[in-house]
Amino acid sequence: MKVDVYTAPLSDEGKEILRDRDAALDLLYKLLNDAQHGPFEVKAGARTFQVSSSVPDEVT
Amino acid sequence: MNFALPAITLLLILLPGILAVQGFLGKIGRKTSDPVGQTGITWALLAALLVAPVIHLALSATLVWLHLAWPPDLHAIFVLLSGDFADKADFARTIDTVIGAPWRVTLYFLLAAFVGLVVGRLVQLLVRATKLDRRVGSLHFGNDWHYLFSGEIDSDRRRPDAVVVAATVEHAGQVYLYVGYLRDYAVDRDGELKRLHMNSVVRRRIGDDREPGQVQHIPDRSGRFYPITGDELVIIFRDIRTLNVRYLYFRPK
Repeated sequence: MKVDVYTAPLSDEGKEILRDRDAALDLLYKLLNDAQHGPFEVKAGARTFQVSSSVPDEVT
Repeated sequence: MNFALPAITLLLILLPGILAVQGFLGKIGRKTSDPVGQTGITWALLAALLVAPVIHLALSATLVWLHLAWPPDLHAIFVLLSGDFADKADFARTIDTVIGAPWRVTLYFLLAAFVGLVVGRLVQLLVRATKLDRRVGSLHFGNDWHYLFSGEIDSDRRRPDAVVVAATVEHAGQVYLYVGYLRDYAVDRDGELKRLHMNSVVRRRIGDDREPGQVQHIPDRSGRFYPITGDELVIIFRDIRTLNVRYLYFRPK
């Protein structure tokens, strides 16, 4: 049967983190380790990102 | 030879409505095969029946107002739709109407079909921009996976910067937990999820749960999770038992 392929949301910041596999895995392990919504800090290349898995207003 | 002229005429008249509905539904739209009761009519066809006359009325009125066309010959249209060509004079008049202006008739139907498609698409953009599809149940599009994976499960949530999916998958008699970043997903025409395409994926056996007090070290030193080498992991949905979705929001520091 024919299928439609959709692209999941991925912002420029998300692409930057995913390009750095170590940073992407580092973030995954932080998410797996913590049942909370964050925020976490992740370094991808020369930049540092604050990551939350809650709604943005809760990012502190 | 029988050309089924009434059926062809009806299709041409309904075409703008059909295209408007398809333009509105788009890829994320409602399944067009959903039937209306036991009538054999689908919701898409019912909507097309209602929308097509509105498009014709608006378009023909505009064209007449701009002096680009004559008022439509409704008599000729009804003769063609009725399929009753016993009255030769009536039939001759109808044929003359069509043959007398073949380019105008052809261009009109092409224009009407295009307008239908554009109007449908614009209405979809309006509904999506105003998030009406997330607030009003009857405007909710049929692809639930789109809402789930786009973080549109409620009207307040903004689009996430990335989506992390955790899926339990059974193979070789074992159940594994795969966790990774969702890049693409495939949905068939029945609205069923078929595949997940993921990047930077780690996995562990589901039995290797964390012990009480055990910390998930970074990087993982316990050996529970290990990264999958490769650029993209494809998981076939029929092998998935459960699915957990986590939306991520990034802010540069």
